[in-house]
Amino acid sequence: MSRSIVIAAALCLAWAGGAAGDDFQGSPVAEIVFSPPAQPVPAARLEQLLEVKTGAPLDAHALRRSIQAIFATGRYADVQVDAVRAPGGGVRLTFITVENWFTGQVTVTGAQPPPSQVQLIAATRLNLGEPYTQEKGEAGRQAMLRLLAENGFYNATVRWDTYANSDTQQLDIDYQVEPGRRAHFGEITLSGEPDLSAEEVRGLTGWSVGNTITQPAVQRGLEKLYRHYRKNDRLQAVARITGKKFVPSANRVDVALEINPGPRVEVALSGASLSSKQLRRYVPIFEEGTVDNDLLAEGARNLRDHFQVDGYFDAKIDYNQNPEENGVVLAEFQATLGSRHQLVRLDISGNHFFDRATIRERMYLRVKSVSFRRGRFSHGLLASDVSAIEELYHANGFLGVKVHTRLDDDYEGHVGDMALFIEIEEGPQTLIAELRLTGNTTISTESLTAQLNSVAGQSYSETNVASDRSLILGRYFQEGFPDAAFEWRVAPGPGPNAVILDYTIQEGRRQFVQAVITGGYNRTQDATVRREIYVYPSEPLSQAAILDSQRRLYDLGIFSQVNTAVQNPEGDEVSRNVLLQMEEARRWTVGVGGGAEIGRFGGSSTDLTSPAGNTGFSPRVSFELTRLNLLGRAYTGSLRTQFSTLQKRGLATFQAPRWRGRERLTLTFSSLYDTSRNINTFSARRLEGALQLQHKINKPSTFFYRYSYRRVSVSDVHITPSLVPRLTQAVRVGLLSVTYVQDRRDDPLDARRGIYNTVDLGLAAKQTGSEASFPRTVLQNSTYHRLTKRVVLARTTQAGAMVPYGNLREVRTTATDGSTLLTFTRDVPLPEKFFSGGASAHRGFSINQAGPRDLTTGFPLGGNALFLNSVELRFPVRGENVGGVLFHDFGNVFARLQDVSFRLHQRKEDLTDFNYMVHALGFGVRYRTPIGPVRLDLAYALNPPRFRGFQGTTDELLHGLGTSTQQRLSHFQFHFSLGQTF
Amino acid sequence: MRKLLLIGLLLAGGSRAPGEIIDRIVVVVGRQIITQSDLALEARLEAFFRNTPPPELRLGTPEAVTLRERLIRQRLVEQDMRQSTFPPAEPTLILEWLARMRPAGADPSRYGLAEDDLEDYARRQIDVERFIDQRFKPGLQIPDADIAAYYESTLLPELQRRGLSERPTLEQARGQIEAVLLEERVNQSLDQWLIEARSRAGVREMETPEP
Repeated sequence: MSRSIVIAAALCLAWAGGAAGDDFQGSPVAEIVFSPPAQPVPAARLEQLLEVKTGAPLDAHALRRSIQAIFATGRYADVQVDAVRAPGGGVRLTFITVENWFTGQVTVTGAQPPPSQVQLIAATRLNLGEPYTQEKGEAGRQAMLRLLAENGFYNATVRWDTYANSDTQQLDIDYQVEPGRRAHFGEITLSGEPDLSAEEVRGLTGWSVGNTITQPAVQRGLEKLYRHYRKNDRLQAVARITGKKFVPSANRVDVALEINPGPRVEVALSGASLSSKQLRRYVPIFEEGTVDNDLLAEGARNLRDHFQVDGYFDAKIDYNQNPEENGVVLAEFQATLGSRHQLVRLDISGNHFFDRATIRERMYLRVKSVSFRRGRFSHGLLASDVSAIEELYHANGFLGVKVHTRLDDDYEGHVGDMALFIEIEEGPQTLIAELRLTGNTTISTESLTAQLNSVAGQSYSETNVASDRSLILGRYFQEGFPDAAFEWRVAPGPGPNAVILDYTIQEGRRQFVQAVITGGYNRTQDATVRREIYVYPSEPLSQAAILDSQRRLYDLGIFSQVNTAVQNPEGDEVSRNVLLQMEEARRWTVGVGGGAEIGRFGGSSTDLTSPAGNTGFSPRVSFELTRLNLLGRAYTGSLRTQFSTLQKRGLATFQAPRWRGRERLTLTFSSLYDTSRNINTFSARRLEGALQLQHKINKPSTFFYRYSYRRVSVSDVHITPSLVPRLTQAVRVGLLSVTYVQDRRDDPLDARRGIYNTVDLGLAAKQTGSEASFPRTVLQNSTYHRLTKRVVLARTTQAGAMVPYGNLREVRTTATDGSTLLTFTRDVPLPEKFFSGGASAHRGFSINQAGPRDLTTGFPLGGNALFLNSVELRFPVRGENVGGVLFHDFGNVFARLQDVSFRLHQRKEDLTDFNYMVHALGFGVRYRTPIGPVRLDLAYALNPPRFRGFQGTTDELLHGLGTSTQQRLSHFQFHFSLGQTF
Repeated sequence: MRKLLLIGLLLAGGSRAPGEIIDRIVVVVGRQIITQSDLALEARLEAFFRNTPPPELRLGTPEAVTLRERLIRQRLVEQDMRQSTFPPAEPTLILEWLARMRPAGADPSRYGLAEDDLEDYARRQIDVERFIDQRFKPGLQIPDADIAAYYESTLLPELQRRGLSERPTLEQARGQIEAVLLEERVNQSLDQWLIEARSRAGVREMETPEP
């Protein structure tokens, strides 16, 4: 044998499984090194992972397990072990490793929606933090090409670049799309048993030649086809695209469509009578546009419920779907109604541990009432209620509870009347004598048991144990034990009806945070992002902390996406990198809006005839510009303007949430220009600058500290000329105020239970830069009480007072003859006064019509004191969305605090008396929407004020012309608005 | 010329690594790996239980490819077993299996094997069998029509081809036919499942030198 052949064979042997390693088997390991020397896993950890040790004989099994352990960290794509004889004897091992890369930010540029960027990124299936390979990148590219083709981009090209960060092993992937021209719809070829021509399909679907083809357009077209068939009761119709052929020369896509209209579906009911409209409503096949057994079963249940509510408590509905005959499939429902009943009595006895209300809450059965004319009963519901009562008792340790029922038909001799008697045999309550916790080495027993339900002395139930299990595992997950496990067993206790509970916890290995890796933002300051992240290196890895950080970052309002992940999720590592990848939202937002208001604010600016206002119409346009993330610190600047015949308004604000790093503080600067005419008496102009610090104490409680400095003036005044200087002179008001809001409502838009309190204290004084001096107080207390599941009693009381004080201020005005008039006043300027009345205040008045009025013209003057009380009964009218209210409002605005009176009537023949409470009764309708209920209220004021008005114009008033008239505010007021009144 | 070839081969070997690769990852199956030494061990175990001489396995040879595919399937099954917390085989089962399969007089040390290796091999074989039985057999029913069709179209022609005059009735053959068809269906299900599991887990074959 030649030497060369021997050597070649030896080289081949080097690759032979096991054989080559055998040469070194048992040789002492002289040295272990890694190539490259810089490894992603710390050296100490690598040493722990290696079963082959320096100085020990080389063992093939140990070497294999070492490779497995290194690979299992998830940090490596490949591991090989090289061996060489060491100069001093033994073997030198080199672990040759290739690092893994992990998916970072995936971006797409150049795409033309549809498909959107988000859809394209989702198509790649490259998930943050997961290992990235070239194959995955290519698979992502192919998936994008498929999605682009589905949206008509058949000539699209996609290439991608990667940007690696060797410090973090993260790899960002940027796909660049060149979509080319979008293709158009071409020929439509039909197959199956179509009853439509290609042209008719084209007309129905909108797939006209020349229209661009996109996934949504194809989908919409198919939906329209289905709608067409549904309309013709062909609920089993099938329309599907069997092929799409791109014709490059014409840049069009020929579509092959299979249509099988299927039979018409009809529904019939026998054994009972129901209108076909009701039948179609109860059997949801028409609503869903398909027929299947589940929907027919649901239809049968709906029909049964309908008849049971109608008193046929034993109603049974069977159904079957007949085979097709003459192109029609008949879904037949057979009703067996039985005799008609009403449940007139439901007695519960034997219950000592739970009161009747607690038990009734869990029951479906109902005695006849307004909502259930004949009550609600069926044997199925009875069985379900018995189970619910038993479960309630079981959950509280009454393991031997028995529920007996007795049904009396033709109760007390009345045919059809039924009475149900439920007797509960509670039996003894099983209590926990002792709770033993084992296996918890990291979290103390005291700390764990403080959260648990099943502790010594408490009742024993499996429900509570299940709840404890969730609490314990939840706590462990939060503390970085993702593999924690829980087992329990129960044993008889020392006495009768006592048990001992054993909880065994297997904590598993604790995981820690190695580093927090953020990315995806370049305009936002790093400190702004880091401040919101509550995940810290070396601390236990808590999913709750990661989710909380994600929520906080979203709450900044400057990111459109915040993705979180643990890098290398499948890797067997103790310390993990936490990834937070963000996408910054658009910084500029422009909004343009339009609308109109209708209300009693109409009337000529010179005509004084209608101080209560005529019904008016005011169109409105608005423009809004918002800049997010100012200075990269999540500050927001905005400009809102509104223009209407009633109001011209410009508001610029700068908002700094989490001011100075404090989560509960929000600082706001604002400047306002406002000219409004929402009070008939005058037009107010306001120039204001304000600084506000909002301090959220806890979830329900918030303080607002505010300083506002404004210049208020009025024009178009409709009051006695002698009052004009005193009330209408432009005044600078500096108001320092503090407001406390306590909001414990369950739903601020439509509260059903809870409480809402506000205390607003303000001071305008010389020291605050104010020309007028007055303290201002407004208090509000609202409560909401749920009388039944859907009936709510709501009430609110509001009181306010301003007391002018200090030196008189000088008011100079020019008289009609050119001379200067000098008057002195300390009164509160007109626009600062309290006005009330309208949809969100006293509904017995139209907007801002309550309180004192000008004694000559009858226009409202506002006042320095306010009292308002409203009570509402809110109840359902139809379904979930339509409700009604009955309300009573009473209150008024008073000239001074000492004028507040609860008198019921205006003094006889005294048209200057406004110091009494105006009462109004009314009803309203509410239609529930996602942004709160739309409402219409009609109020009848029982005692609206009479007053002296003026027949004439402003000029006539100034020249002593015109005539004085006696007027009265209308008894009827209507209000149309959004949101509940309070 | 021979000298040049020799130098070339030596240089090729020298540029690869300072010494020789004594173990490496050959295939990645999801989160698990198959190493070169896994293949060698498996080859030795098979040889032991077949009572054939210890092999010299080279990567890339048809034998190595077959072994590799078998280990890939085994890893896929093991992954699924782990996820479904499939209980491991009882030690008594392992001992019974070994007593049944161990070739008489065979010496594991001759194959570089320890008792632990044999037990581990036995455990894997038993687990895979149990897994297949439990996962794919329950619920499988062979319709009478299929049994009759097999009897008519496969069994009778086969008996005729073999010249056997004694033919069992359908009822007599029913049990055996059912067992055969059941096995076929299980294999079909298993094959389908393996295709899906392979795609789900992601199998990455590493570059290995030519044999």
